[in-house]
Amino acid sequence: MKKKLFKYWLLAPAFIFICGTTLYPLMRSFWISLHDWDLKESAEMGPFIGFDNYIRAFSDSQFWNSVWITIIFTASTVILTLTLSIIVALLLSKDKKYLSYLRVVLIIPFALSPALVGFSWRFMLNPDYGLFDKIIGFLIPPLADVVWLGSSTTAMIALVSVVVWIWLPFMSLMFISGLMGMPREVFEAAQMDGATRLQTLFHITLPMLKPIILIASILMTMFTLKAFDPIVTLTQGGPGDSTEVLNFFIYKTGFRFFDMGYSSALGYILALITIVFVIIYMRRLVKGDEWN
Amino acid sequence: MKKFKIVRMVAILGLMMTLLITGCSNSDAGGESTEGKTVKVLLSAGDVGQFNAWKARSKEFTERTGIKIKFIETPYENLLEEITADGIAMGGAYDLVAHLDTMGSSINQFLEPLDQYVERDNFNVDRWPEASVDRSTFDGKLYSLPVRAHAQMLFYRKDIFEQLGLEPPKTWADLEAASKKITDETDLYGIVPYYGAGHNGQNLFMWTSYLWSNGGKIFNEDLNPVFNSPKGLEATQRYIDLLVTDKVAPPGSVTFGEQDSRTYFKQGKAAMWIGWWWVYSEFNDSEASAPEVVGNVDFATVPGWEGKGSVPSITTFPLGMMKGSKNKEAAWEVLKWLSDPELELDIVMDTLKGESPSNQKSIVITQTENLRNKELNKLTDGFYNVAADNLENAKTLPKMKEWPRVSDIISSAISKIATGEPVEPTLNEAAEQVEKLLEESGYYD
Repeated sequence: MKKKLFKYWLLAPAFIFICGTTLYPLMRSFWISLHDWDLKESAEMGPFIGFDNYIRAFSDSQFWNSVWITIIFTASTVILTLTLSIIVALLLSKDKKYLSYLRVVLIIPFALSPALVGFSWRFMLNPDYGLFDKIIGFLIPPLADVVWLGSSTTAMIALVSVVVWIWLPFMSLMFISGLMGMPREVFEAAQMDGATRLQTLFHITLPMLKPIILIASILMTMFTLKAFDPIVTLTQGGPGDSTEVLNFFIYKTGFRFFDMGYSSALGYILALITIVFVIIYMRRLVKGDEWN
Repeated sequence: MKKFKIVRMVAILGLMMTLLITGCSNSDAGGESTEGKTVKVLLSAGDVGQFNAWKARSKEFTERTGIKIKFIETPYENLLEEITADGIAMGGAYDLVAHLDTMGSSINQFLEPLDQYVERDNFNVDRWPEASVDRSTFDGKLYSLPVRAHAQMLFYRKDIFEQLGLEPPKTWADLEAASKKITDETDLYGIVPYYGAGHNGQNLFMWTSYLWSNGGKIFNEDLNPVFNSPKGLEATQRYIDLLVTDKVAPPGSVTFGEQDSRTYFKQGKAAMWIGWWWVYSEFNDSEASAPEVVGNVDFATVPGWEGKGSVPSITTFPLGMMKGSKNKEAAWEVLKWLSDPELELDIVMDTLKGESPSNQKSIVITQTENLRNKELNKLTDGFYNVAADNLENAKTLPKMKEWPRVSDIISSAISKIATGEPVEPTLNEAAEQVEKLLEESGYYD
């Protein structure tokens, strides 16, 4: 009997720690989201208003704008990152010595702080003294006069590129490990049967990569929905509100407008969206066993 | 919330400890003693001349009163968060906090009303122009002292203007003509505005001087947004045309915040800049600006609309006392010292006579008596007389709790227009959003 209790005692500190740092804030913020609490008015939480904050979100044009931008931002970032990282992985997954050095170098962008990356890119994209701006202008003269962060479309392109740049190495490494772990026999058999390289890629490599593609897309979607630092440092949601993703909108509502109730509700909506994605992916992932 | 709880716990523990430690030693001196106390003053970071001058002169204050002052700096973007967090926790992390006047409406709940101190010590608040004091007053109570206030000024490069035989512009048309000439005939752009979104609505500073000088308004008497009136549209178009039609502003200005554009000016790439006067010292500081800029920057009143005159805006950056402060008496002494007319005059006189170190240069004068000071005006060709008129008559941004949100909507619209969106529909949409917001907040009930 004593032994049975003992293991719970050992678990208790971790349990209390998780309750204090995760469960309590989660529940508390949900409780706040059911209240009208404007920190500009008072430091005490306002009256209970049920789901009014959630209803308010659905009639708020700024909210819908940020949802739409989040969808564009997330979809393009995830698709681009995955496509590019598979290509990079295919190029780097050979068993050559010099490639293993390349793979180490590859991880460097990922090791940098995203906030720093955002600032650096803002600097490099500056039309007057930006390095990247000059390079683009040199290589593709018609694009020399583009102010990258100065219009809705180009700012979004810049933002997506930067986030892809950040995540590409990590995703590539995932695919490299997947590709290098594949049984060689299958490819040898395909070669014997006279399959071309493209046929091998589409009929063997990619289908066998599917479980990894799925995991990568779950992770990438979650990472992108959570992206915050590059947006703050690169565009501040601008020009206008053209790069104001949901995450940034929540931050603004909470910490600039101090509308705590509403921003908690928005936070929960974002969490729900994320959870829906995760559930869809997870279900496919569980079924994914059949593909192997 | 958890964070605030922890902060509060730590603060309470800290308070208990300090009570235990200091309680006994101070008992004989009585609760009123300020001797040996340390007053923590929260300021915005950025090598501000006036703040540096305060720091340098605080040693003398400490010797005289025994009160130590600890100046703590935080980036301007985090100022509001810092004050709010400490205010909710009643933590006493800061005794005095500097803040932008528009923040006052949301943070006055964390600030100690100063009326009782003012009354008790017969402190003369009328030393400041009424408009400045009004920026510190909420519901009839005084919450801060406007020890720092800025009038908007036009800064220009003397050397470039002389070279091209130009006069400092008096109207927007003059400014447009000068900008065009400079852009055409030199390597510099005529003017560098800041149209970028974000940055807490900085792209509204220049916009309001266009709007107000054309007789436009942001709100009417009933607080309905009217910035999309014909006058407002005309003013906005003219403001944006510097970039879009006339092309006398650098293309990058569409993304610039105030600081980006100031940097651009300091690098010597543009010949004019409109903004708060405190940066004057920075422009003429050899460590902050390019060699061809230092010593070549002069200032003038913000241009006006033809036949309607100039309406520059002012902003104050007052110091308030935190409710959670544990050293209120000492903090009040510091406030009184920082409000000393002589201190203010001394800092600026030293700057104008070239006697202050480069990081302590400041031209900020807030008090009427100093603004009208004969010697000061002699040294500056009457600049402060003009500034005094400006500070007394200038318009300010609305004092309302919802302002941060309203400013965000308008700022976003301006930024969109600068990227090439049409003026009228964009401003109409913004006005609708503002109206809806204020309606939901119960402004029209």
